[in-house]
Amino acid sequence: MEKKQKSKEEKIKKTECINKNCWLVKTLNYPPYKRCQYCDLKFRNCLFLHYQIISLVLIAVLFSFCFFFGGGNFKLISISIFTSVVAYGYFFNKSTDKIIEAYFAQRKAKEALEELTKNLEKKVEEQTKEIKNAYEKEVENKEKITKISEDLKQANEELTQLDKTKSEFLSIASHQLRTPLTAIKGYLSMVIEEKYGNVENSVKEKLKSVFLSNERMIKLVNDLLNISRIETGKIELEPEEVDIKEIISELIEDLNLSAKEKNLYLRYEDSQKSLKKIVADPSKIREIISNIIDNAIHYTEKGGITITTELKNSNMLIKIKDTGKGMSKEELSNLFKSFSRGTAGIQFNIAGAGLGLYAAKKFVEMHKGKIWAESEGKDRGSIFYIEIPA
Amino acid sequence: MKKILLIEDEKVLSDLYEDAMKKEGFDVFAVPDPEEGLAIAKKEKPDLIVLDILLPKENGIDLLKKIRKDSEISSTAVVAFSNYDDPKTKKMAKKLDAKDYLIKTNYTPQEIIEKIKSYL
Repeated sequence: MEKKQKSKEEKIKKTECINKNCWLVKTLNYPPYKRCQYCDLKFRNCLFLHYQIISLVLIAVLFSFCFFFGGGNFKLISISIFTSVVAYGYFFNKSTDKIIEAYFAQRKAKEALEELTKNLEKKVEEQTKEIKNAYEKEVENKEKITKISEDLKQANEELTQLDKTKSEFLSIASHQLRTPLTAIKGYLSMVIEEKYGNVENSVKEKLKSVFLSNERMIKLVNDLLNISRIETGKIELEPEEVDIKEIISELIEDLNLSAKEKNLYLRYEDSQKSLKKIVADPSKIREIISNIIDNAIHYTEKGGITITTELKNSNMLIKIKDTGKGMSKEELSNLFKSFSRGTAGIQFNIAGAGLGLYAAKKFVEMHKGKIWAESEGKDRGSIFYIEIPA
Repeated sequence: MKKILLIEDEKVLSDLYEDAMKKEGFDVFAVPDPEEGLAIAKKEKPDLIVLDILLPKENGIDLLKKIRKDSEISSTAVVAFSNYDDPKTKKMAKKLDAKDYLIKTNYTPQEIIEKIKSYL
């Protein structure tokens, strides 16, 4: 049974769509017909059609022979044969149609399955590719991360080395610059103090000028080094209890000489309400006040400088008032920038960058304080305010 | 007469301070080399060592550590003395029991001598 089915199917396979060229199909247009599921042409299984027609012709011939040339029984036999053949042919047709349908349905299903399998395979291939790409990307990323972390490590080492170099530079710079200045200061003071013998007053006065110039040089170097440290973040506060009055008194003693050179007074007016001691870095507080006083002395030609201290909202407020050249609004706004000189500076041909005030501002800010200046204008003097939290 | 050991590598400054101290009546040993300074400290047992920080072969702080470790001279008064103004170095010096850390350019020799006298 299966063999028969198979051979029938094979025959059907041979006939599909070749039928479009079959002359019988085209000429006879033999109904009832079926449409080819693939090319939509009317067809009848061509081979079967040929068999059917050939057998029908033979049967017709046989029947005709029997009917016309045979006896009475032959007529009956031929009619019954003819009828059974036609019936057989009809049912045979139906069954082949069913076979054809089943075959095509199976083939369609098979093709659909193949299509699905193909699609699935394609999808699996694509996804495998994607996974592979993703994996390769991850490996690549890991390598990149490893490289970046190695680069970072190296950069970190270089920064540490740079930091070390900066520290070394600062130490060498401060040592090299300060050594000759120390020698000049030392020997000058010894000569002025007559440790090497008497010195005429007129000579002494000249030597004092040299001494003061040297002091300014020392101060300039200090300011440069301070700013260099501030900018490279290598400066720290060393807070302790500080007596502002004591610092101011000491500074007045130190700076009196340069004030007297210009016949200026330098005095400290004590207010009863001021705090006796505050927590601050004493060397930096000295720098701040000393820079302001120094600045005031330079920009004042007559009169003098008055320093007062008072309490303001539990903060220490230091006021340094001078009777000097004063400042315009523009000069006031540029005052604490790292390089600025007022027009008075150019006029008086005073050498020096605005480093002292810039350093003072930075130190005040390190103490979380405020520094500002006021002036009523040209030749009307100035007042500098330093506010330090207690 | 009080003895002062001065360890200072810059000749001009060494001469200056040696001169100033001698005029003040101190017995001064001025050496530029830290190892030599250590040897003299052990031999002469000075009343005060004035120690420069930026020395050529050895940092002044390291020398101070050696002084403190050596039982013969560990209790000698030391004043650190430098133009290197570094807070960390200052802290180290104070930790190693230095009486003071003076910045050379901030003081005249006379002012330094006044300070030294207060530590003797």
